[in-house]
Amino acid sequence: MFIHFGPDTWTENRTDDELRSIDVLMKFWKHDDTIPQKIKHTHLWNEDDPGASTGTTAIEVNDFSQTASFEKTFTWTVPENLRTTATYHHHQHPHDVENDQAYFALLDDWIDGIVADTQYEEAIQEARQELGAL
Amino acid sequence: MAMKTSGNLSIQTATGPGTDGEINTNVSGVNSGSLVTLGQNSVAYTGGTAPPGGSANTSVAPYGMREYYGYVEYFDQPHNTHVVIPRADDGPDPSARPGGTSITVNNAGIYMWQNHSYAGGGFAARSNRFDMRAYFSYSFSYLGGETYRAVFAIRKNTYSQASDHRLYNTSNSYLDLDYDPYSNYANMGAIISNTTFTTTSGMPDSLYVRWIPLSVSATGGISGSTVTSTSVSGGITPGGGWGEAMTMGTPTGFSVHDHAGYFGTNNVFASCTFVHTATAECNSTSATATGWLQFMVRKSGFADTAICTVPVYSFIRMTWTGAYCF
Repeated sequence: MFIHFGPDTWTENRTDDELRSIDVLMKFWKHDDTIPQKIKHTHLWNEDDPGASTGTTAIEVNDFSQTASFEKTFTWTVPENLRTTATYHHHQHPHDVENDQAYFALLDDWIDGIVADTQYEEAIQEARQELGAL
Repeated sequence: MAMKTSGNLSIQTATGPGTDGEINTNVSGVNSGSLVTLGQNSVAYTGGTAPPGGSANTSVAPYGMREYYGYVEYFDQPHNTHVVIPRADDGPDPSARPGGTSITVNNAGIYMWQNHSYAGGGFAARSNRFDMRAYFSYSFSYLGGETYRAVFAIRKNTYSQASDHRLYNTSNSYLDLDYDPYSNYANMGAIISNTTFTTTSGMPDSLYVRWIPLSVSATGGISGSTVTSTSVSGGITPGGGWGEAMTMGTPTGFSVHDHAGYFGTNNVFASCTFVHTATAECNSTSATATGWLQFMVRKSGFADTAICTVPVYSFIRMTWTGAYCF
């Protein structure tokens, strides 16, 4: 069974711009070869100047924006010490580097908290039953 | 274990004959009180007593109970695991799933982990890898005896980027798997014999490895998290990829007395690499792969037999630190 969740698909609930909770959308596919694909153009980097692109190349990647075989949403409350007004970039350009750094400094901690929540494991077991996956 | 060779047998009842006399207990893959159903799921054993008007073959009609005298389901040769893993199952039944439906860092037998930071806007990938191989070995002792082994073993792959490659052993401590082109393969299970490999009847027909996925997850990235195999060698065709069950090997040249010298030789006939890859672009990702590696023996006249079933937990964290994205 393939599981995906993250800032690309979840909804952030904010008060006065500060992140207070996250509606985590968990997406499940029985096999990874059933995930819809899309073509992504990604930059090739100048090895001598990592800030410079020498062009782009097309690669086929999973399209997690598509509806999954089974989906489950639960709300995770962000602890006070992990709250921020920084926002996810949603791959919009140009990037606000300072904002990105503030946001991604906390993302790993949010992920750890979500995975440790009992609702996360409950969603997996429910998906396993729905999809007939071991 | 073989069923009894005389006395009372039962189809399903647990009282009286004992487990070596219960046909349903000894036929895998089915739970039935029907002798016909049990026979159709049996392994075509021909060593029992033929029913009136028929021949001794458990899988064809007419079906008789005494056909099961001496019935053996699995090719359960004496075997050992040099690294005995409490978080694994070394029984012959391939339906064993140690760890149940939740494989974690606390119950995995094989554990790989890495935490990697990266910057920039390009496509980034990281992988955890280990090598598996199967080989036939022979050794001779002047103190007496010859020893034959069919061995499954693993080691860290030289291109793996994981910080930890751990194999948990009997005392709940772990071995750090390392890469060495000549040694440091950890034994995951070996059929070992002093005599049976001197005849073809005692040798396995083939050995293979299955990857049975439980779950693969990713929290970001673009491709996410995938498990694949690479570098399969030994005249082997991976069957169906890693999505369901990957067959590592059908060895060729697995012959009687296949040894070159008196002091032993290792004849590698199959190898492949387990690869868990995580990818990301302008994003952090936490990617996990869980499932079981199952080391299997195939022998004509027997059900496919497990030597070792071990839960695997592989984790990759890629933390994006921003910058260089346009």
